[in-house]
Amino acid sequence: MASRFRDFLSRNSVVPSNTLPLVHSTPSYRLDSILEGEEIVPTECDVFRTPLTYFFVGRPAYKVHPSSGEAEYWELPSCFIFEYDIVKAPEKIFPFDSGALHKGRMPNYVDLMDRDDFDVQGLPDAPARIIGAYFPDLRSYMKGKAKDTAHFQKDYTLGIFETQAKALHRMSIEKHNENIDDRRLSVEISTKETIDLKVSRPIAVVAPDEYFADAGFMNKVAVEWGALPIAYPISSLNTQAYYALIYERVESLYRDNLKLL
Amino acid sequence: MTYKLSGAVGLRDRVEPGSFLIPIFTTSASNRLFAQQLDENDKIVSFKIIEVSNFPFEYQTARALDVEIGDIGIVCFANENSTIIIQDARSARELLRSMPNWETISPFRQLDICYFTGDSAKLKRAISAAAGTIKNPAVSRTWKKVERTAAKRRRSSPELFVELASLRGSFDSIDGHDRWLSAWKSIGPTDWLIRDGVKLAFYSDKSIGARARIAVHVLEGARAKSVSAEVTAYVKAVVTNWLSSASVTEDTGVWSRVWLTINQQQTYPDRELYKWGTSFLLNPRSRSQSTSGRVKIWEALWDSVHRNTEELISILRADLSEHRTGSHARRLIGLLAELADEAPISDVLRDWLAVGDPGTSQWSTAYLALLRSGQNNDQKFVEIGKNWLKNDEGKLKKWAEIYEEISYIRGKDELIPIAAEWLLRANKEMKVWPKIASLVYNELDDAELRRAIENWIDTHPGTDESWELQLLVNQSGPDEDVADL
Repeated sequence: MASRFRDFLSRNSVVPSNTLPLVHSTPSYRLDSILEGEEIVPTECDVFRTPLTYFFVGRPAYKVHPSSGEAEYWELPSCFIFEYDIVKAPEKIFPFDSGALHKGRMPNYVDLMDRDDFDVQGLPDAPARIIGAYFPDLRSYMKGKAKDTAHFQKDYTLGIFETQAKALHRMSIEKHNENIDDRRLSVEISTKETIDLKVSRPIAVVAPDEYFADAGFMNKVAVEWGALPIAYPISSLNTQAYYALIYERVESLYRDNLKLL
Repeated sequence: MTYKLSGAVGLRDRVEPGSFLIPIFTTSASNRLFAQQLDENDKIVSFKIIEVSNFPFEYQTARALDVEIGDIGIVCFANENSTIIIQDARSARELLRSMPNWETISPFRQLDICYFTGDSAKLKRAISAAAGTIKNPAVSRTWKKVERTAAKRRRSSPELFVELASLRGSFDSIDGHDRWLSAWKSIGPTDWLIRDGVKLAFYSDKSIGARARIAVHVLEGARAKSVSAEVTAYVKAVVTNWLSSASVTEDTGVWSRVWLTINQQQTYPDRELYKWGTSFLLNPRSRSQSTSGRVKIWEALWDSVHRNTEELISILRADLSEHRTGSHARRLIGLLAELADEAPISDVLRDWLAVGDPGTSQWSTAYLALLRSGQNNDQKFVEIGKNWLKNDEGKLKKWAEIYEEISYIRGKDELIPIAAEWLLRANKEMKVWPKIASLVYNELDDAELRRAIENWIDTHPGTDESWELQLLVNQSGPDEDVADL
């Protein structure tokens, strides 16, 4: 499907970034059932009315619930971090959390646009092109620090009809909209595939400390899957603190261990 | 509104020593259950509906405990006997600091407790002990590294490290700004550090440089995930008051850095930013202490959707009148040259050229920009350039560019004599000298000049320029085949 946003990303001047792992986030209370079945199964999606599994590129961001809205702090985010190529057949690729758009949590100037114009599934290197277009480097992407206006305008001359590309940039540099926080420009990939954790083993699993205190849980993650346990304390009783704790650890993994940043 | 403690829920199906639970509350205004959200000072900032059916463990208490937003939060944990303890957060911290039978607690629960109590020595040991429970050596090593890094960078609890805790309240000292910047480097955006940074940046008499740096850190840090919404709002309120205060526009160094930072962040209303920016530029003191910040502010206002062209042009003319030469004039003209195709700017530049010193690089920059804008190709304006080329400004590298531009407008024949004259008087070591020589060599009929060019080739062997000039000389020389005949 042609769209001006897709055309923009297809330009030669858009240099694809390197890739980052894919992150599937879920409330902690779902961890036990995922570990038991050893697979991540697509669930019925309220946005696209079809079973899908969602990933964000790199960021351990929490999806907005299409039905219930923002995740609550007691849900305690957990993440499965996979190699970038885990998804063989992406169903959709958006430059942001499609659930946030569906839930009306995007700024008006994005809300007014046709959601499907932002779907760049099928465009080669689409996630890397989105990151390369809007962020100076992967570290900036992880921190949500997009190219400033001068930098962006210097890199790309946008025509008056390239409204999607412009709107995304505006949104990427806006900080005052708490409704969209770190998902305002987190590349989202969805798939109908079931992820078999015995075959497609995660690189890391993020969960509260309390889970890793359980020897069975720890063995499954660290020994059977060979995945890094990323444990965070829950004592702060504050959602933002949880995200800060998770981001610190995931960034450290990317930077110091995987040498991606 | 009052919330009444009703119990707690746990993440696992049973509690063990050191487990933290999530306290749950009821309120008379709803039949739902609520969980509290705490800030970094352990105070309750909100209550959120909680779905207890998602938790495998639920504990109910008959203890009468009422709290409201703003109160110290409630913390619930299992002690060394797995007995559930409910305390306010500060008392709980004290109890957990001296928890008996520490070694019997799972190391991962020890971690949670250490992060809560801020006991760095115990935390270090707990990380080693937890790494020992990971039965995959490679994974264990990586985990330890990641967790140690996270522990070092822990931001939300300054008490975690004793040395950092000792910094609190010490920023009033004479080296307070250095201490603050050092603390910032160590722990980054944190509510308490930002609050102290606000005092130093906006309400102290520290050096301008230090205050400006702290101000920028505060403004950028206020948007970090680790900073509470309350502190973000506090910083915004302080900055709004500070920027709109007429007296602080005299604080030019800090003021311009603050304005430019928030302008880039795009988190303040455009109209207010415009108003503050013009007030600053109109302040006579800020004009007399011109900095690069002043030029950048003017540029940002020129790009603003609220631009008042007349007002900004008037500011511009006043600045150019007060600063005819020097770094401020250089910066301004450099900027205006980029905007020369806009009519009001073009007018200002033409007026300035009439009074500016043609011997300066900014004069030639301005002239060239106007020429290239295509709006100033009238006879009179081009003559100004021709006269400049003839006069003693040959040392400027802009000479070649202006020469080429006028050649394009007037045709090269008219300028050949000027170039010939320039080649003889200009410093032959200038990079543009061979370039001009190559442009005009074939048009010249001047033995002295030809000798000068050939001499240049001899004294610059092996360079690209001498090779190009040699080609020209060879092409224009006598036809050797014919001569042989």
